[in-house]
Amino acid sequence: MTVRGGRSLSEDWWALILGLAIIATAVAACFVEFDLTAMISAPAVWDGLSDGWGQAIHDLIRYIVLGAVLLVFLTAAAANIGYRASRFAASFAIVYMLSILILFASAWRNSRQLYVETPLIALVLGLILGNLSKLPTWLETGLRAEFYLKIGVVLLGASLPLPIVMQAGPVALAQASIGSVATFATIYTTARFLKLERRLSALLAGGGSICGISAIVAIAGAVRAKREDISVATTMVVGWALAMIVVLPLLAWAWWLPSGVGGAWIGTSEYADAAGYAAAQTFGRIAISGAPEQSLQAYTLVKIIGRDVWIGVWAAGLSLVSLLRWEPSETQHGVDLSQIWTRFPKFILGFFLASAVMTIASKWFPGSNPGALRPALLAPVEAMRNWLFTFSFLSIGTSLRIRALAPVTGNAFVAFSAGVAVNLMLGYVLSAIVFGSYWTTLGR
Amino acid sequence: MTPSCARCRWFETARDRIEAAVPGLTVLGSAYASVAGNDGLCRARDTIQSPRDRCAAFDPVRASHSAA
Repeated sequence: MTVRGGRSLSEDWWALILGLAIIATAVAACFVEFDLTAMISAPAVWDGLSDGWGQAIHDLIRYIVLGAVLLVFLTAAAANIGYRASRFAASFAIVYMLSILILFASAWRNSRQLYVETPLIALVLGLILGNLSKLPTWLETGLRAEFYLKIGVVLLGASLPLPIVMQAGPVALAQASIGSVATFATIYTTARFLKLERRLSALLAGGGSICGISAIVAIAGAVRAKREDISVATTMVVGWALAMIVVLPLLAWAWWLPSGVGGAWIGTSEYADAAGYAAAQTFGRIAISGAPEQSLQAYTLVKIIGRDVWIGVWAAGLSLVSLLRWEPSETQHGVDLSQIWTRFPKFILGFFLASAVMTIASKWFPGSNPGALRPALLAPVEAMRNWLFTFSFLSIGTSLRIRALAPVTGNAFVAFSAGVAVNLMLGYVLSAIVFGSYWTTLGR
Repeated sequence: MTPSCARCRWFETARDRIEAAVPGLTVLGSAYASVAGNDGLCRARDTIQSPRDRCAAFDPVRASHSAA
């Protein structure tokens, strides 16, 4: 395990532990026939203020209990990771209360009819709070978008039967690898052609092709990047990733892509896990054909299996280039191959374990369809995932201080945008043409 | 003593300070993630470094720094 100073575990390990704990609780509840979903489900669709208010009052105790349980476990993890526990607890309480409001807003019948999804409401509310008001510093401690997201990704694994993961893995890997390598090469060569420094070029290329800011963080250490360059690359990824939450589902819808095909395209062309999740979830609801869940499943397979797991390998490769070509005299030590494992996003192991546990558990319970996941087993996990992604999107919006972002030069913008264009076109060709029939029938 | 970043007083490893030093990092990322490895921020060069790196600006951590 990755241990940081003393006995603390990284954010990734805690996401794995908490995600699997939620799944174990769901399995145990199903085994004793306890209705866990009733305890953790989000607000039901409501119409009219009296309806919504009545539902809120009816479920008040349930929300308090759920909030208290989450507060205890998340704060314990936060303390071990290294966040300031008391600040995290106070901040998380605010995040949780705002999330209840967000989930109520998205459960309003008019919101549903207009496809105004939870992630969008959470993002917009967060942006308003973070940019139009002066928030206290302690509140930032609980705005851990990545932490909530990683637990959510582990829970995403629970929604994918292991046979689909194993069967789709090679296709997802092939598609994502082609997209990643081509996009990296486009951004890097364009950036170098435009005379950008090679470290900044590598950061932009990694951020635009592998997995957004996580790739920038990994590559920054591998190539000894300057802080100002990291800020520039971060601004580019944040800007494009948030724009793509809206652009990708609309493009996929306008071109009548089936649900699974659009999800695979989003998995190939989005930069950040959270942003891609929002785009894939939205597209699943508006897709003209295919089952809604196919979009999220295809997205998850391409993004998680095809792109995220390789981050350590990319970092090691760039570390080698840095050592041999860029600055051999300064690093003065060999390439540390152990970083392939050190930098590996450990929560992805939780994703695979979650898939395996749910697949096996579904076979235990009588009445299950062979090969299908039992709804009673899955419903509470999906309900919990909904909460976690809401926390994540609210944190993203609130953490994003537009005026604090580093200014971007025209050349950096052009280089990154060239990669975006190539990635979009290649992602479309791979998803809709090369592997189109595969993604259309995913899980069928 | 090996003159590596890990033993240098300019090497910042506190994750919250690294996040504060890079605007926007926490929006879609985290310095507490596995992908960050054991890297730190060199306050002398303003770069991200591996603990095994070394350079001419090396200045060993003194006892008072260690205690802090």
